[in-house]
Amino acid sequence: MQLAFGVLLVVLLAELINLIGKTHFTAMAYDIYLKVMYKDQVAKQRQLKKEILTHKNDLSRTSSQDEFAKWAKLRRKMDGKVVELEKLTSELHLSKASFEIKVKGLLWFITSGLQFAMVAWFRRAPVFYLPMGWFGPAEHVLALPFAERGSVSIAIWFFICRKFIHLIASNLAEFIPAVRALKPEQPADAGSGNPFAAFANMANMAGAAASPGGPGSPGGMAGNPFAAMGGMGGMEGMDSANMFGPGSPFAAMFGQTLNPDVMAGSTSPSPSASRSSSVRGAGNLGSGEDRRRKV
Amino acid sequence: MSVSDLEDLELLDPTLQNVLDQTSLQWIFVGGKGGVGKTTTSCALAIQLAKVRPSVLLISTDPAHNLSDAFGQKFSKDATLVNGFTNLSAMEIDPSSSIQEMIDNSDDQGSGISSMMQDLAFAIPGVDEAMGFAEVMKQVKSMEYSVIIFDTAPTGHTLRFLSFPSVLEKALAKVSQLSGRFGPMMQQMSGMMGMQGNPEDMFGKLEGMREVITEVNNQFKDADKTTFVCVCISEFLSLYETERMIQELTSYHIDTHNIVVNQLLFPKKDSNCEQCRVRHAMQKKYLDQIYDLYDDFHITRLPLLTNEIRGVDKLVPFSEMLVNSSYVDEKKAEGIEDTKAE
Repeated sequence: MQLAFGVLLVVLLAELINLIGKTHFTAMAYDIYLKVMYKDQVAKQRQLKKEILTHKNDLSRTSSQDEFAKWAKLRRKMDGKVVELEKLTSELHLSKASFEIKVKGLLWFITSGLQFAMVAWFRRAPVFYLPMGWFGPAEHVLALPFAERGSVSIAIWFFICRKFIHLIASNLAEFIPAVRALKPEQPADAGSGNPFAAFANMANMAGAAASPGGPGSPGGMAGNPFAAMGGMGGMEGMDSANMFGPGSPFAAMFGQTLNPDVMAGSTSPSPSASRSSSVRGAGNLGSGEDRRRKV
Repeated sequence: MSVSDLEDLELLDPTLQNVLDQTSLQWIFVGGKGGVGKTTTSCALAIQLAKVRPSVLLISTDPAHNLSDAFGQKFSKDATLVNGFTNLSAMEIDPSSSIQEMIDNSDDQGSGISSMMQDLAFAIPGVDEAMGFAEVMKQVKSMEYSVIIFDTAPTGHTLRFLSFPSVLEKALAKVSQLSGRFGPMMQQMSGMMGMQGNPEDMFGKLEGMREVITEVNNQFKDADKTTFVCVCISEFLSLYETERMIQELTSYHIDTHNIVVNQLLFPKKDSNCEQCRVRHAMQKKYLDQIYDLYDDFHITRLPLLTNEIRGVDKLVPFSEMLVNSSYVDEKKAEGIEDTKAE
């Protein structure tokens, strides 16, 4: 049972992170980091900028023809300060770059690496046993990778948890406007370089056409094998708030194989607000920022 | 603040004597915006230096060569003694012929490439600087002269020339890095294509060049060995250019502490020349600004003379003004009509 709950917890955490958006998260973390570690640098930077503006102002008011000496001295001071500012800014950028790499690594680990590791470590362990005979031939599927027949393997359990959480989130989104505002709306934004994502989008459109009723209806989603595949192939490392499991173990294998521009071409109208399987994420344009823009 | 008030304050000696006194100097650049009197000043300075140094070389990197005009003698890309002097030589670097020579030298490597390079080489702006620099490198290797004076081209070119060493150094560092990695491969490729040139040799030469360039770079940045004399006239634009040039030089860490203000008017008190008085007033205004801004520079004033300074016999007395400021003492000189040696 601990394994089951553990997996659920991990998936919950991963989905939360994806909800906030990796880029947004990184940006927030960097803000905090900056305030804590580099307070005086930031203050100095601000002060330098203010001084430069004052000097510029003075310079524009001094006539270079009549008071050349004063003008030149002001100019020299301003140039010196500009050089200092540039140095400071580049230092801060450097620290930002290195910090962001670390945070991204950590986030990736939480969302994907951990899942990978757990699936690999517990590949044989049964999460729980199914009641005998309930599922018949499906038992073989449910035990899929390496678990013994009659039990649920951890990979399948991950998959189930993810679907479950997405389901709950989409249903909540219907009822809570605030959450809906956060949820991604446009599918297939800016491409993601994921081969299955294209399928997912097409499948979504097909699904939307096929089952016009019931936003978030489980029937519509479950009866959509392509969508499932697309979901499992969702791109990790990008802020794809793909409803069908961006952080799946398969994602790591298929991520970043294709040219994002190819995928960008596959746009599709949003089938419904909740069933927004937006497979997006091209680098820094994370879902978090996109969401903010849309709101 | 008039100039006479300033003279009561502690001003730096308003002559170029400090350049003559600084015996460790080996490279002197004379530069400024067009038409201010760089060539005249550099020739005059060379003449003065020849009195106190074992051997002096004057190089002109200006495409419009006027050393020949100033001395009344034809100079070429080989150092030639100036008539009437035993230790002063002059050289005018002609970029086109230097490139021709370079191409002829490397002709055995493949003629198809060289003709293309030739066309390309002439089109490159700044090829003068590169050629001037090649000469510098030769001098560094041989060091026959105790001091070398550069009569530079107008401002933009000069600074590019001076920044050339650092740019070249970086470029060559990269090339030698690459050579280490791709040398063997290039050797194979050249063998395949039938080129005779040996890449090993080429890289060896480049490496050697790089050392010389680093040496030159270091020498230029050493304040004891190199200095820059800025020549300007007392007008707004020239002043602006001078300020820009000085800031750029400082950013390259090239020492400069001399300014020569040329073509100054000193009209007589009872002069009825309206233009002279008006111009004098304007020059005075900017001269005050110069004194205010460059209080750590030696500021030498040179008058506008009524005749052209061409030929050695006019240059020699003119050069006295560089080191003897009494000619241009405002109180004494009521007007300078003709150059006269004291």
